[in-house]
Amino acid sequence: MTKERGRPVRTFSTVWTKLRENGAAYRKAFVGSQVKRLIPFQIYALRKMRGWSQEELADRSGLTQGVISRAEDPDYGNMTFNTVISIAGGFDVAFIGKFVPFRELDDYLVGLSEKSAGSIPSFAEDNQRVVQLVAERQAGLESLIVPQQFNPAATEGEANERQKVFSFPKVFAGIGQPLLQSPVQALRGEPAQCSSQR
Amino acid sequence: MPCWEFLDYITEQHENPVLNWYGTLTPQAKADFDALILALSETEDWDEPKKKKYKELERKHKGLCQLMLKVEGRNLRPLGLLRREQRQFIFLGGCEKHPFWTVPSAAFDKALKLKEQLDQGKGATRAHV
Repeated sequence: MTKERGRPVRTFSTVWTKLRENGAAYRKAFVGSQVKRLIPFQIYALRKMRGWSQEELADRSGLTQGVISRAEDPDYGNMTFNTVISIAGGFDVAFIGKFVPFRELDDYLVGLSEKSAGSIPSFAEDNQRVVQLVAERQAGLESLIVPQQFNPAATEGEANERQKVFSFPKVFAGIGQPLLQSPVQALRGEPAQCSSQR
Repeated sequence: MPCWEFLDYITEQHENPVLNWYGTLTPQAKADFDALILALSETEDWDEPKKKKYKELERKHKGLCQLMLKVEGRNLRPLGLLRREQRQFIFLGGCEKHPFWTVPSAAFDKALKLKEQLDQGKGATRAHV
């Protein structure tokens, strides 16, 4: 008997092929199936990653254990947005619901695992990282800024250009245009500049 | 990398029973089936959370394992062989289950025969897509 070692169920080609070949009715049903299955999957993965019982998540979410149990049941099918939002609050994480191209869904599925689904930091953990990142960038920025006095022969324009190169590391990428904002500006709450304005 | 691997059994006559069955399903049932496989492939422990996702059969069909899927009020049962140590599930077919019959008929008996062939080294397996 010949045997081919099974490759992962999900690859770009396998999921995309199904979406393409099975038609619009399948795609619509697939979206519904994924939502009904992936949200419970992620709730369970997040709870498991944190070592919480259903009761603990219920307490933190202002819900009952029964609601959490149903929320983790992919066959339940009647979970409301309010419940999802409450559970997000219990985990202290964000939840975004938006329409996306199927390519994004496919990308998400290809990278899906219990670990990835459950590795969502709470706001407190996230905030620590943001503060650290800003501090690191500020330290890096201060070590790179060259005082104008360093090269008294430089024209004002040359000095300004040098300042721009070192002062505006790319921090955010907006839609179409990268936004350039130094960590110091971010701390001060100053607006970012669109790259075309530089 | 997925935790579990899903394979299709291919008969000596080059038939793929689960794919043949999949082809008879409605778009909703196909989508739910695919979503179930995706989720199971990434679920470390199929017994957690405590929701019935599968059942290892006893008595007459001992050795078979059925996945549990309810779609549009119908009980769909992909059938196969669960190899826990290898973390594999080998599809042998599928059916819609009713209290005293299946659609197609005798689906469990047919799957059991395919399992016997598989155990005898007949046919082949390939990755489920």
